Amino acid sequence: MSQSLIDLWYGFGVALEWHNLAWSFFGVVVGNLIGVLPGMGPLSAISMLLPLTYTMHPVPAIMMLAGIFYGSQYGGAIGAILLNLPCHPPHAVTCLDGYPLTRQGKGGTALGIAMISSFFAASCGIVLMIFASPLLVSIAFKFGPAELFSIMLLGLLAGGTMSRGPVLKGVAMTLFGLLIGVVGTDINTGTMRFTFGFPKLGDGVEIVALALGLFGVADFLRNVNRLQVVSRATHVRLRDMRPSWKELKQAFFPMVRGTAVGALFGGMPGTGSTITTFIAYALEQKISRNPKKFGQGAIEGVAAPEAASHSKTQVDFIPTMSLGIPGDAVMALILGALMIQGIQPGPQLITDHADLFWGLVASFWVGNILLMLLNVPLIGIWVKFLRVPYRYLYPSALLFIAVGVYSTNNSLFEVGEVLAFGVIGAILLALAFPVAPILLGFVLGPMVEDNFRRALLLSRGDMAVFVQRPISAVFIAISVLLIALQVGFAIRAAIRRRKSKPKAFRVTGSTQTTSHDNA
Amino acid sequence: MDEPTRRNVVTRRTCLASLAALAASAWIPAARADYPDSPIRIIIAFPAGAGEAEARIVAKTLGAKLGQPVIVEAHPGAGGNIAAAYVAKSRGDGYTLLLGVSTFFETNPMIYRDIGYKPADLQPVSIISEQPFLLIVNASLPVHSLQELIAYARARPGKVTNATAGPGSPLDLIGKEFMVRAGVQIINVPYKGGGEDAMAVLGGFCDMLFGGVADVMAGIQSGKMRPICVTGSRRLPHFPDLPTIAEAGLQGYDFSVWNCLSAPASTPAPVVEKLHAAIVQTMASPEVQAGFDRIGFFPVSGTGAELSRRIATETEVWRGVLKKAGVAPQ
Repeated sequence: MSQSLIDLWYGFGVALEWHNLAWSFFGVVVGNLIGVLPGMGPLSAISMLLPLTYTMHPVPAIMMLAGIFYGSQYGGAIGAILLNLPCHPPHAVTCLDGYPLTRQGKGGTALGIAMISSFFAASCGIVLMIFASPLLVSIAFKFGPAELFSIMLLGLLAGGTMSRGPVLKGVAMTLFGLLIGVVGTDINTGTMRFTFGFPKLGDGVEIVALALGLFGVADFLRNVNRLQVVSRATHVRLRDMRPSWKELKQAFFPMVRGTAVGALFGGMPGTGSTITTFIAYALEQKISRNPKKFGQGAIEGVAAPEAASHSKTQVDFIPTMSLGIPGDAVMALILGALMIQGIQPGPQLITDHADLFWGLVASFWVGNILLMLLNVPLIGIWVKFLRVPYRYLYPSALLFIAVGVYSTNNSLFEVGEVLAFGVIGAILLALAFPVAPILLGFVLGPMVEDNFRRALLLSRGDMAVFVQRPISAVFIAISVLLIALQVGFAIRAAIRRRKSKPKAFRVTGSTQTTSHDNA
Repeated sequence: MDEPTRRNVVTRRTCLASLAALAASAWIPAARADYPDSPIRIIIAFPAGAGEAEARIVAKTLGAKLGQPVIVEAHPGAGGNIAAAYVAKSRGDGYTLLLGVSTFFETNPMIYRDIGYKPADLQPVSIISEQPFLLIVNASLPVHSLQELIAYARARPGKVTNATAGPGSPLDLIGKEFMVRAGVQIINVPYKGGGEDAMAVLGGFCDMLFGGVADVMAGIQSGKMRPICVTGSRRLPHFPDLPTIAEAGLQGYDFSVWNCLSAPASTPAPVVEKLHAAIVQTMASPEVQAGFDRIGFFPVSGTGAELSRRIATETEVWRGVLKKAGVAPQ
């Protein structure tokens, strides 16, 4: 352990060299800006800046790319909270409570909480990276298809019931999301499902298009001509931007829990950030003493998902660096960049390229500090943005959405997808359906199906595998418990209602009781 | 205080004059320099990130040889058909090229009912790489050679699992062909590619895998994976002791995936010639050799005509494999 500390000290020495620091800063600033622009994610940014790294020494190159990655996570929260526009799908959940906070004039506070949670979670993630990499990797291996299925199932059940309003509507929307998730090519047989002859749909609906359409465009369509986001000349003072002590205390434990969820999912390749933030949010809601306040501006609803997203981002690096297996597309790109530089990621990366590894780890922390320093003063400026009249603000946002979505895959079809989902989302919102569960169903559905079939394939069709494996059994048990509780509550409520209905009496002339009277 | 009256420079006359000048400039015969005089795009069919390493290595050196920047653009989807269709429909001026994978030309037309373009709209300019695969087993299996693997699988019909990247993908077909030739029954378990199949073998969920060098190198070095043989016809420089599948016992089994640069069929011949010459130089250059070495590809080059012949022969081979595997067009 002390060896790790010595190496870390060495790493700080590398990270704080002027040259490396400058490139780190550049990456972080670019990442932050990219995060604020809707649709254009870190993937496009890293992809475009990759050629810059050819002539650079590998250490600053990777620091810059990594900086873009986690910098964009910071920026993504800003749009989600202030404009109900998740610039990046994982931040869709932050919209649910962040935007109501903005409407209450507490946008700055929400941003402040988001920043603090992010920094806290990132720091924890880095600590985990340093001291617990082997542990996390071994845990990740224990999660096979059966376990992943059980977790995802629990996530679906929890998430379907997480939105305020009638549970039936939440479940209906989750199912709708599941249906949308079905679109695409089936991985087991190669059949195209629900593509209606569009080759572009062969890979499924693009998540960025779905998130931006349902959250951003739908909201805009509904609020055209109707709403000023921050009404009155709200003077946003520095005091308003710093969350009060009470709010910090409220947000502390959700932060910690969110970090834990993010770290857990970060170690498992194949689970995206979107799932992580949803589960963190759902978890908070389920264990909260006052679940009704979620969706109306609960601080916990901002702290937990943000923490989860950031700790996942940091922990994501572990399987990439130590096993050479990328957790998601951005990691794959960074992996590619490493290989072009001539560095083979794997177990011997730490020993062969100690300056790279430890310098990178140290630069994560330095980068996060830089981001905090950058963002906290900027909160005021972002909030002032809202005073731009709606008629200029939202069309520009739409333009950025269109450009951002196009830049993901160079495809106009996807821009059309955003529009389509925007219209669908607007209709659903008008009918008072919650749209967040759609995203959840969309993300979890394919994973549940894939893992279910894969687990059965591996167990040669034996269904008992889900309860035979201990971790999976635990999650299945929790799911069953959840369903039982819901059914139990419903039955109890129905009985209570029946008892309070006035008893019906037969009208006869006599006062004599008969067997027909309720005794 | 009155401002001295300034003559307004932007009069109607000046506007008209400048517009006229602009219009006239369009008539100046485009004194085009020789090809290329503007950046060239290589379109790849993988989402930004996954398959870009190879394209970027080539783009860097090719750009230096041609004197113009070469950029990589991603149009993922539909197993490569989106990218291929995009290039097939673009202008044949030599500025849009496709990084084509052998499966686009050989198997996609048989797997997809409608690939979205006519194969005749694309002409191959040169092959650029070959990627053989390694047959890997989980290190906990008591299998150290191909013969042992075949014996192990024969003793457990329907129990050995092979991680693949989805039906119709080259790895899946290679696995099916292996089954047929070796006479064993193994179960193909599809994953979504991107290293997930390698993860499965690392974690012990699947027994074997046909993997690209880049995906499995780290696993081999950590000791959790054991390479058995190479699926191509050449031994890999990273593992000089590893026999090829043909040497190890399965005669006539030679599968690697190759990549090429293709251009729209309407590209004029002199442009294609120039491009071809630059590509040959690029693939022979030491930077590309070194770069490809790291990601496990063999750089090669050849003429378009050779490649067309190769496509024709290999298509027939794959047709047989697909029929035996029972894969029908989607």
